[in-house]
Amino acid sequence: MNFKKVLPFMLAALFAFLTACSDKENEDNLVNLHIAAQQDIISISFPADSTETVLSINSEFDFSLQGQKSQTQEVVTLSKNVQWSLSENASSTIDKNGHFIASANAEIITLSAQFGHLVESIEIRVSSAVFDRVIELNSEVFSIDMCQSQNIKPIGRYVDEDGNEEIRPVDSTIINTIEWLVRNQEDNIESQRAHIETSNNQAAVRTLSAGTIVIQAKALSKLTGNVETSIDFEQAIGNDLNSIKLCDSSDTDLLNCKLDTTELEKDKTLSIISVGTYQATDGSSLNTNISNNSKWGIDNTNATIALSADRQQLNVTGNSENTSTTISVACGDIVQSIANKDITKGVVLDSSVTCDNNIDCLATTEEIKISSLAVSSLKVTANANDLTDGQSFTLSGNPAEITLVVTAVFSNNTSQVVTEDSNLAYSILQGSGTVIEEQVDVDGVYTVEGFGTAEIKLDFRGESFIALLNITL
Amino acid sequence: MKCKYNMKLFLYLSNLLFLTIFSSSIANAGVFFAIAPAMITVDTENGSTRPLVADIRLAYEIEKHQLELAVMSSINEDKLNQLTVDIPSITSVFYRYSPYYEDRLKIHVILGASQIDVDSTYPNTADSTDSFEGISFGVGVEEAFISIPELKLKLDWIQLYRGDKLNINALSLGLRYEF
Repeated sequence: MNFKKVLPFMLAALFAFLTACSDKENEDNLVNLHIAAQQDIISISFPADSTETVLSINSEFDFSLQGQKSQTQEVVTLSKNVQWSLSENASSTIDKNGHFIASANAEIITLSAQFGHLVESIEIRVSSAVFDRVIELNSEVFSIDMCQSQNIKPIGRYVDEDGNEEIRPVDSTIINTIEWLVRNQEDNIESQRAHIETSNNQAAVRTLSAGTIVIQAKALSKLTGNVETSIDFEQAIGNDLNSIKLCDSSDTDLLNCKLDTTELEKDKTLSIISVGTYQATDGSSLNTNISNNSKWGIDNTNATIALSADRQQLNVTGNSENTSTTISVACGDIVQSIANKDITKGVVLDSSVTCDNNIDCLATTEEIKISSLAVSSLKVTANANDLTDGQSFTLSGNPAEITLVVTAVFSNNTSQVVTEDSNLAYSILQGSGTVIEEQVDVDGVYTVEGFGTAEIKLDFRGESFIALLNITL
Repeated sequence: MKCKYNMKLFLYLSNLLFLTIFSSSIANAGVFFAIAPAMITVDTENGSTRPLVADIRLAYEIEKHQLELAVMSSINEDKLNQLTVDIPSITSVFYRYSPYYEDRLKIHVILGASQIDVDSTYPNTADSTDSFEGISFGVGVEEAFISIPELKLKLDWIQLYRGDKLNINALSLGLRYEF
């Protein structure tokens, strides 16, 4: 048998199989099992409290899927490897992230979610009933303390073409159009105790101080064509805040955290958070980041403060070096007046904040020192020639004098010539009196006394540079 | 599977070819036997499992060329959380080519075909056995013991099955004895 003759045929046959064969159907079962096993999920379900089964035509909704882990029985939200699908002939659509867009006509469809080998389905009714008004602030009664945030699910009245009434959560086509009115219960004036904002089709109550408020929802009724105002929804804001403190934004242990970083370089930013400790109904303590709903202040212009885009932390930027500033934070009623627009964007004042009478208010302060910018390196030239730290450079031509120019590079990547800065110290380590002599009253200029090696050490705010010069004819 | 019939036919013909060669007598040819534990990696984008198998091979060698019949059977299953994966059997035919035949340390290029059965169990799901057939390829190295030249230490890495969403690889370290 001649292998050399048979070999090409075998290789060709094998290559053909290599490109043609695939057990795709069999792969699916094993791949799906690995998907479920990787996250240790043994069952899946739609979250009961956040899954809508009746949706208005042309509305949008983000479905989610949760899974139960086999080891811990913990229920977790599944964000990866979920395949969403709708029943055949559905006019509505759903994308790979579970974002559902209802069709323009009423229909009943089956929504399926597959995670690994696990499949769960629910029936969705796309309803043509039109929105009339908000009839409840939230699907269930809730309690809230000052400086907290609470997502709410307003309940609306919908009416179809036959006059049938549907009571269900306000859908995405309406929720963003609602104007929320918040008043103090006792004097009926516009309240600064709370604010309701809507983002990504989710309404949330943000509270700033304790008391009772009255909330109303104004929205255009698609049933009547008029702007309809809801009944009054009364909501108490509690005062179970026990303490308030400042922490570094990187802290995750909110129970034991404190502000460790109290020094800030000029032009650098320090991020801090306010942490509130609340008394829970079961007697335990709850520590939470309340930066979003705190009232922030600063006592001078040595630094500037601003909430981050998500309002989860306060950014302090140093302005004046070798100074200090005091950051103050309060939760509750403060002495300083607040514009209503500050309530919506987050309260950040350019003066200190202080509690009104220490009733329904807690405050704390922290001094932050603003230091000079750190020096990251020094650049030095000798008679306009660039020097390298510690490396010898030859100056030929028998120069009469040597002029050093020192540039400091700072930690924010800016640079500045510091040759005559009082913080820059020159010292001749080698060749003093024989090779070079420091000129009096002129920083960085040396008279050449003779040939040889001169070594000059430069120190500037913790950074050093050795200028090593070889002076020749 | 679209090429199942062809693949089975191919494996059958390969076995016949192997037995024909094995029973013939050719100069500068030899028969050898190899045994090794092998770690099989069932590799998906979302996790891998690595059961162990016993890898037994009977082969015929003519200079730079070898033809191997491999039979592998489960030693130990592997678990990924609650998923248990076991390999009850693998049947393969490999052609091996050694380009540096005269060297002490021989490197082999491996090409062949395999059929792999994979058992899987998962809570609340019926137990299943999936069968995969496909072209296999890989590399191997072997070196003879100085005191017993007929006995060689060998290491093989072979991709037994390459699929769209799943690959099955084998890594074996064992001994080969040349009769």
